[in-house]
Amino acid sequence: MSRVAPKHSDAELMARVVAGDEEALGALYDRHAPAIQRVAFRLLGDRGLAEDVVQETILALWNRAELFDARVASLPAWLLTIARNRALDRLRARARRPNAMALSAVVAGSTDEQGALERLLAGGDLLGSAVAADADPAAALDATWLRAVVRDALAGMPQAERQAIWLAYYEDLSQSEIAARLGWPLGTVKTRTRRALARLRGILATSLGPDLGAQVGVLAEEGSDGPP
Amino acid sequence: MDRPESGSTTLDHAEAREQLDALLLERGSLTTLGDDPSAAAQALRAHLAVCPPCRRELAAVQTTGLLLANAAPDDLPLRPELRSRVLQAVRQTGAARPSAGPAPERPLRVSDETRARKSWLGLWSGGQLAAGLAATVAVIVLVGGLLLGRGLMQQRDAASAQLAALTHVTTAADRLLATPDHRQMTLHDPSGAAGGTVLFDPDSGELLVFSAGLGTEAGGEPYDCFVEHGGQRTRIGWMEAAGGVAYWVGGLPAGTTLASGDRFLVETDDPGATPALSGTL
Repeated sequence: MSRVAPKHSDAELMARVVAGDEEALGALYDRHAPAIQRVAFRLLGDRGLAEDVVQETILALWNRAELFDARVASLPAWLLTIARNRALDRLRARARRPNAMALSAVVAGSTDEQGALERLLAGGDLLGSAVAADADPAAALDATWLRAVVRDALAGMPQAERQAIWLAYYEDLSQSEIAARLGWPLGTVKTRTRRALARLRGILATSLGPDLGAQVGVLAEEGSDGPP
Repeated sequence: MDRPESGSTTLDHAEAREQLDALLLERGSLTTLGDDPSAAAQALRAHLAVCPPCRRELAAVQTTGLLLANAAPDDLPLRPELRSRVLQAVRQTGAARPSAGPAPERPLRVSDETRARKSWLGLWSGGQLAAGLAATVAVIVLVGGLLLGRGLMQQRDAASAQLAALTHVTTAADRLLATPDHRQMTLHDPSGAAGGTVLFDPDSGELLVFSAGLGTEAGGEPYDCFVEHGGQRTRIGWMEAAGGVAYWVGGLPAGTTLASGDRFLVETDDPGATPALSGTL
């Protein structure tokens, strides 16, 4: 599929989409998919789910192109609203869905403990409400502050450790791919990645303050109130 | 979980925490840990279920992941193969359009067709909507042609505008009915008679309301559209008119929801007025 020259405005490309022009749709994907993915990833914390949101948003653009009215909202604003709604739907669904595999099938723990784990696995007890800024200005401010703190923490880490986190988390590379990219032995990648995460969490535990910091702090290697 | 499976069904703290770190950086693994049927995942879940410290570690790892995601760079790269995947999905499942390229196909399942037909039939007491709108469009085209013959350009333009507006409404209705999770609400007038319809896509927040006999104003006051959620009323739009159909097409404002039990109202801004149309989702 050939690309559409960047001189075409969103409105021109949308008119072509309404007429069934896939090339114009591809151009709009190239222009707006990065921002859609970024918004979805920030909300969901999962690249695979973020990619699903990109797909659904571009599909919605195609299906509902006639509804777009540039006098009401810009195309990026329209698309990001759709993407945010899709991502929030996933967050809500994750919080209320029962796990596909009941814990009772694999462990005979207490009901309370199973419930605690199931809530965790469903993502219901997370920091998500603070990170998922949505339209709340206070939450948006929190998200911006959190972003700055984490970026500062990453910037202050040794380069090799920062690279390990960056490639794994932001470029979605496997540990084998990181080893190939950087020319490190696989064992070195694993060691540096673990060390990097521990360092990052240690920095965040300090810089986020006592309440929030306690949510990411590194625990003692041996638990005191659980099984060995 | 892309990890060697030891065959052991028990883990110690160090093994569990090492696995949790690996999950954080492995695509989708934290999200799917609860569903993963592998022996390694089962062993990890079994350990977590009886180990509060490692559950706290899981929560900390999840939180770290969210914080890292929230701090994603503005130029977060897209995987190159995503483009072709998305465009392929549009070809396979997107709405059919007049083709300027390869025609995208949307094979309607029987259930889709049935649902769409039923939805339309549910509108305007017994399927009058589609026929009514189509007839209205036809009349406007005819009248537009007659008016043009008399050289009344202004009236022709008005007819064209009405035609475009009604096309906008029917297109919006088609789009909303094609969404898998769309909701439909019948609006009633003060006598209890059906007087209008709301179509709503909860995914995108897009909404269409229309009525055949409402007009756009009462006593000089325009009709506005409101959503009442938890006793709080939010104005979301206003009724326009074309060819005898009052309508509004738009999206819910950010932060506004429309869920089961919420009310939708069409009324003037007069605080003492009875809603001209209302319905409960």
